[in-house]
Amino acid sequence: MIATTPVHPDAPELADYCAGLFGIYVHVPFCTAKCGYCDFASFDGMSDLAGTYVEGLCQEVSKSGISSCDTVFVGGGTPTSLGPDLLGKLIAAIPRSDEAEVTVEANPESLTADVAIAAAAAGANRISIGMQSALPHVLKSLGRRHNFGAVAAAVDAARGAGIGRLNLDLIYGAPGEALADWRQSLDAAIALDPGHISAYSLTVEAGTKLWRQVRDGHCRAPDDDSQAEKMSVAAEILANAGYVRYEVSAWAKPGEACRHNLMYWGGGEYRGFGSGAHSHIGGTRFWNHRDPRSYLSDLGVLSAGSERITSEIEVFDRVSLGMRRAAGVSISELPRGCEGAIDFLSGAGLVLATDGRLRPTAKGFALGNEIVIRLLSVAGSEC
Amino acid sequence: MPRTERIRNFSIIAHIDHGKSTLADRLLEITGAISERDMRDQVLDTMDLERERGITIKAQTVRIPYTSPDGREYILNLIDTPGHVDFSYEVSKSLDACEGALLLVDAAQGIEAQTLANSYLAVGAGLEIVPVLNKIDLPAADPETAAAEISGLLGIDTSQILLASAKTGEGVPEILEAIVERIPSPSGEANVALRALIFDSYYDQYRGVISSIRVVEGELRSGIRVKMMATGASHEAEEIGVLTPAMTPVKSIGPGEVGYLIAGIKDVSQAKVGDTVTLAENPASAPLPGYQEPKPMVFCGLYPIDGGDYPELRVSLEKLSLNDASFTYEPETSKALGFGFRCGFLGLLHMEIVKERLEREYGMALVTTAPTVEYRAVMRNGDTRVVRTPTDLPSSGELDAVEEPMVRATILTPSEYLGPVMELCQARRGEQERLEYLSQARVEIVYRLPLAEIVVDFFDALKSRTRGYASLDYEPAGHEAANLVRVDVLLAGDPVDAFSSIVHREKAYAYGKAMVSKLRELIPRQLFDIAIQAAIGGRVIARETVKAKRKDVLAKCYGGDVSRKRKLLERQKEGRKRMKQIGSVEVPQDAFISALRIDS
Repeated sequence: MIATTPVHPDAPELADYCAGLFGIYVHVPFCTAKCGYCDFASFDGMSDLAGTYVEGLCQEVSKSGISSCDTVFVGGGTPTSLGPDLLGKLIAAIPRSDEAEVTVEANPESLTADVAIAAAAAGANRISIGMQSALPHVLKSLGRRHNFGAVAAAVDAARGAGIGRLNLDLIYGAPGEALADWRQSLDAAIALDPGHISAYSLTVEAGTKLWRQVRDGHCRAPDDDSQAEKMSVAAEILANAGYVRYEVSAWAKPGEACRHNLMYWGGGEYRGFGSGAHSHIGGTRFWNHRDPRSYLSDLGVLSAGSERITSEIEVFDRVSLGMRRAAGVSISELPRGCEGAIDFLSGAGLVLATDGRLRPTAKGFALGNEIVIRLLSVAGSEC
Repeated sequence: MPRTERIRNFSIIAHIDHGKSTLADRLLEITGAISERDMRDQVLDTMDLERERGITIKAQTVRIPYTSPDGREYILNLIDTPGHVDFSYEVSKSLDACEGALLLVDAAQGIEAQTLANSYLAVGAGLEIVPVLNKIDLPAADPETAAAEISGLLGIDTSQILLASAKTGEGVPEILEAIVERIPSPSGEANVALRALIFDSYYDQYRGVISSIRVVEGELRSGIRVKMMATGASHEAEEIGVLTPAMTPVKSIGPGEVGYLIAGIKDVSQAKVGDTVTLAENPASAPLPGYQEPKPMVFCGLYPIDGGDYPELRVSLEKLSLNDASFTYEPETSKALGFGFRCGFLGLLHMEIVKERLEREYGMALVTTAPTVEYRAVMRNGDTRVVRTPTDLPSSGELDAVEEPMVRATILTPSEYLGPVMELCQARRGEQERLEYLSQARVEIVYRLPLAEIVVDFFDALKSRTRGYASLDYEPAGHEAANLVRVDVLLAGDPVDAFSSIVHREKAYAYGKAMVSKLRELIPRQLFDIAIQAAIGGRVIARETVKAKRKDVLAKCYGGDVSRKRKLLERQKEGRKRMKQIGSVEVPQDAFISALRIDS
């Protein structure tokens, strides 16, 4: 199937193809230490639960009756913190087709050679490494415990285990990060030659340690102008290095786009296993208990919450997720009556309407909320 | 019909928070006028707004049967009065319906400016004042100082001042006795032509206008045809009754009695506060004295955020005016805001109340422009024009002079804040008329001030300078010529009429600068740079720029985030709906008022 898959990361054909895939997301909620900016369902100091958790998760998978999928994403938390045996067991338990993309998220310090080998043996074929920055003072300000040497070692471990598809996650805008620091991190990531690089603007999420620090005046939230500057620097440096931007924060070389994420942004269906995992199946979104102990008490039998996707929400998600992609959205699938908004956004240089599709420009990637709000603020907002 | 010598009509004069509603509740409770089952806090404040703000907007009356310890039975009519300077005419009419008033003063706070002003009104109307110091249960209560102050201000012997706690009920029986002993019973012939005072009118959607009335002389019988002497309107008295406080129909109401009248009237402007009700067949020869047409003092533009809601706004204003004869509206067009109405109000609180009622009860989303006062433009050719909208100010070439309305403001303040209060009044172009120490600790200052200088934020500024201790009362004091100019505001090069203001020339430059910098904070960043300029007659005096925004996108959005991020975006989308599109610029709904709150 990979041979027939479109290779250009920003091709509409690839976006449409991935929207039709079925995905499985597996959540590993454990971390050695919780990072100051993180608001995901992850917990430190619970690793003694790991064995029970993997056991329970395997039960949830088998009870679900799902027999196959096209993409798997094992995220967290820190999946690699499970160690080789549990991680291998967990990956092996996920039903999937032979050609499926199987991504595992990793922290540089826990992606050791034995973990990488175990993951590869269990079927992982893509690894996403949380590099974040190449500079010690930026890593420190993000509350990360690794150094750049650990990132290089993790990349070697993955490759040594035969996993060639790699992503490096970067974050810009940490307190104390200069523009030159950011360039240096980008260069360092590129020098490791991964097929995929994600560059995220640091977001101060309510309730995180970072949020409290900003609230109490201990540090300043990154301001939108300098973040915009860093985003455009990333776009320029990554483009020069041969990476194609196919989403707000995602760049890939040909054939290296993450199909699992394109599935999300295309409104595809997926089933999430594990604590806090979300699912989207048959017009409903539902999710498991966020707390691992609550999750283990019922193993996803009773979802913690659910939401019926009404036609209005369907349109909202299609536009808000779809316009994150370089491939944009087919104009015929936009809300009726939004021609005025398209004209306005084109005039302002945020979108391009070509070949029946509406796509964000470089400026539009940065002003995605404006695009979404204007496209959806038209009478009726229905297709 | 009770004999007049067993009737007592009284009101309670009190400052906000001094415990008027609590005392009223206690009087009803002790006399058994209201059953425990129906008892809830602030029985008399019926509007949600009144309960929330702790003030009385519409007057309420209640008939309290009272048996004194000597066994005699009385009818006590408590006539509640509105408690704000905006409604002083309504207060005076409520007082006219009484023979006496309880002057209720917080024993910890002492008397406040408005209470004092109302007490003088009551004394002027010949009412017997029964002073009561309330909240004596509080540790901070200082009844001696408060009593000395009241005695000095109103010439009442301190031995006549009652002590009470409406909260605990202490001293309340003594208040009831003082009401029957000290307040005179009403007088008035029964066998003469009817004259009854309307001291409140409100519109009920099922029954039409319900007026509170005090029969001064003659007799009002159910079913008889009545005539309003000011408006000339004639109607049948469909139902008359008394308030217990529930509406209880009766056959007739005689001299000295208080009750309500329903006469199939569809609009409160047909039964205005202060008008005299007489009989259509046998009318009185002259109305009761003191009727005034309500006169708006403050004006602003009200515009629907969505221009399509204009017809709905018109209907809402019509309905609201059925219930409020003192607010006026006329259609107005703004280049920036489209079709709307120029509305007149008794004061700022009245304006806020009307706006809030339109939004709450009628579901309107509105833009309110800066409040302004009524200027008089004296033209070169000798004509005089009324200017209620800044854009109506004629060009300086045609003008001979501009006259602005003045007020006489009375401020009571602890003496330690005298300096800051005087500075504030001076900064607002005030001229001191009088300064008097009420005691070592408190001062009464009277200033002549332009009304325009106090309509926006004077009261807030006064409160913040005196840690909330100063109180304010004011009355109109004619018009006066002043050196006034119009400061215009331009957004992205286009003048926005709704932001124009009439300002004293000496303050214009500072005003313009403060205005544009305030607007720069209020207007969110958009896709283009937005120039904000202030100008006088085309000459730019200040400028700021709102820089174009460059980034707003959410960094990450994965499967698990979809529902949460959607909510975030939906909130932002809803926020946009509360923006008014002016040319290419989106302006927040409240900017038109907030921009004016410039710290001075």
